[in-house]
Amino acid sequence: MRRGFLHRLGSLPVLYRFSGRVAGGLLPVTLALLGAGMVWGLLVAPPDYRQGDAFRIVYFHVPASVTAMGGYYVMAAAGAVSLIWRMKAAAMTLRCCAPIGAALTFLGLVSGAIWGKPTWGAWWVWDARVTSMLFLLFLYLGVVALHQAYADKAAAAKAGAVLSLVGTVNIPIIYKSVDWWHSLHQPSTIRFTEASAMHEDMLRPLLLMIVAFYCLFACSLLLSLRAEILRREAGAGWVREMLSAKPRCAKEPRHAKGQRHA
Amino acid sequence: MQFDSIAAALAMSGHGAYVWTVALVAVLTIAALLLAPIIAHRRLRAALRRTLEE
Repeated sequence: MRRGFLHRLGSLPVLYRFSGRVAGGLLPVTLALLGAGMVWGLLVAPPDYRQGDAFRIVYFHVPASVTAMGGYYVMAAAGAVSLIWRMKAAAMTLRCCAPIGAALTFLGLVSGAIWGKPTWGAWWVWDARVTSMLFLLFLYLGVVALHQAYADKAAAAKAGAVLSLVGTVNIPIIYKSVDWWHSLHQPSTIRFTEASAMHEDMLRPLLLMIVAFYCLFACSLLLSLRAEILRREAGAGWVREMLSAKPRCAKEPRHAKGQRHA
Repeated sequence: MQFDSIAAALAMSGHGAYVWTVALVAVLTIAALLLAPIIAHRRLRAALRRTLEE
């Protein structure tokens, strides 16, 4: 059953309609979650006893960084599928993930730098966590650049897939960097196997923001996929058919209404 | 609510400049991530429709 569903998503017209429909439903949910999380984190959550209100940067820094790392696995998985089964839909997913991941990694790095100034006394430190995160940004930008460098889409997808798969090595390094090396960066606050090092009143809005950022990633990916499919399939029969068909809920022209009353 | 006034929320006990700058960069990034693909799709659709009509 599930396999059948995934197989159908491999068909570009089906994926186009699916991404449009799901993104349409997910967009208001994402905006509501982001709005609620920001108000909760910025104005309602209690201040940190040591960092004061500067700690509120956590509500952007952690969700952006976590989603940037999670999104990398999505990109690498799409890369693997496009290499093994040469699926066009997977190659497009790979291409669409890269700029989104780059933007989120950028947000993680910039928010970290701005947070570093009042807490560490420096905008930038060549520390294991920060440097491996910078490497993640270069990996994402590398996949974007490869797609722009190759005129041949299939070759670009292949090169991008190989780079994204090789780069997965970096993700556990980022996760573990704070444990493996002496670091200025604090160790992880949210733990799955033991109690989190954060009070619940601070943790709840953080978890909400992480969910909101994952929704943002999914929503942006689906919207980008829709545009990418249309761009690549511009000459296909189904696109022509879809665009020449009249919209289903077309409004009645005004003059026609007037004529009926006359 | 942790702050008594808008001024207090903006100041964030001296850290306002850092926190609100991050919030602004985040909002701009989020807007770009959502608006860019919507605008690209709309433009593409309009351009394709025009070429079909010609």
